[in-house]
Amino acid sequence: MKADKRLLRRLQEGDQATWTQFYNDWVQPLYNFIRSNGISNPDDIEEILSDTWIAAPRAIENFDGQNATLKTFLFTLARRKIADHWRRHKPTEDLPDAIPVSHSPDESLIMQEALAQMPDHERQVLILRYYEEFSVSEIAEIMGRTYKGTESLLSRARKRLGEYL
Amino acid sequence: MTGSQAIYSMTKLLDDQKLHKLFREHWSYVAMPEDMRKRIQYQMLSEVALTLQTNAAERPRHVGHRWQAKSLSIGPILWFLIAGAGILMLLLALIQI
Repeated sequence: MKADKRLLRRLQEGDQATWTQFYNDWVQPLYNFIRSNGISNPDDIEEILSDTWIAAPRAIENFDGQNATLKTFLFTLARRKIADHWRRHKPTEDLPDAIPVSHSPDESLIMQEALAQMPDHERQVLILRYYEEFSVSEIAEIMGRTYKGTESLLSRARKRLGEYL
Repeated sequence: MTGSQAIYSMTKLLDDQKLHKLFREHWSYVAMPEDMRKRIQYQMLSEVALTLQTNAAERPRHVGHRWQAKSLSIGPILWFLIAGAGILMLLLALIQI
């Protein structure tokens, strides 16, 4: 997959309006992604999110967009910042909260509890695949795994989710 | 049918289509606090401006460094002198013959 060249060029040129739009499009999904890694402390989330967006203008200068989309670029950057965070802090925090969807609170609660019981990387791969709708190769890029390794992780995560439900 | 049974019936095969549907309908997150959104946006835009300024300031200096590095490189000059001396000696030897 290739990145939108026009958008990439404007970001690389430092166009403030394009960066604002880019930020508004992706800051909430990135916020969700950080929370899905078992990080629930608001200060930690803000630190990781801030580190990601501050690193983005520099990092995008070396991004050619030939093999990945801008969405993958951003999530990969966020994943690196999350890894930095875990190197500095022990993973002792609670799992993320989810808002039950109003029309079916019971099922949403069950879903939330099932995902909360799963190991971080399995929950993360399911959310990236089925909520954020990334392809397997994009998830491999984001998580720093091989394609086969990602497929296998996804398969294990699907099986475990089935067991918990 | 309970909520758990309903989800299980959807996921017993756990194919991609069903899981996409399951996540769309039953997984959501808390919204990002607005003050956090604004703070990070301000930091990000400041960084964009700073990156532009830094790049503009670094560009001529880079050119200068490259020029300076080339001008100080004595390797090619030495080789040129050695080769020149060799050719000169060869010519002198030929003249004597």
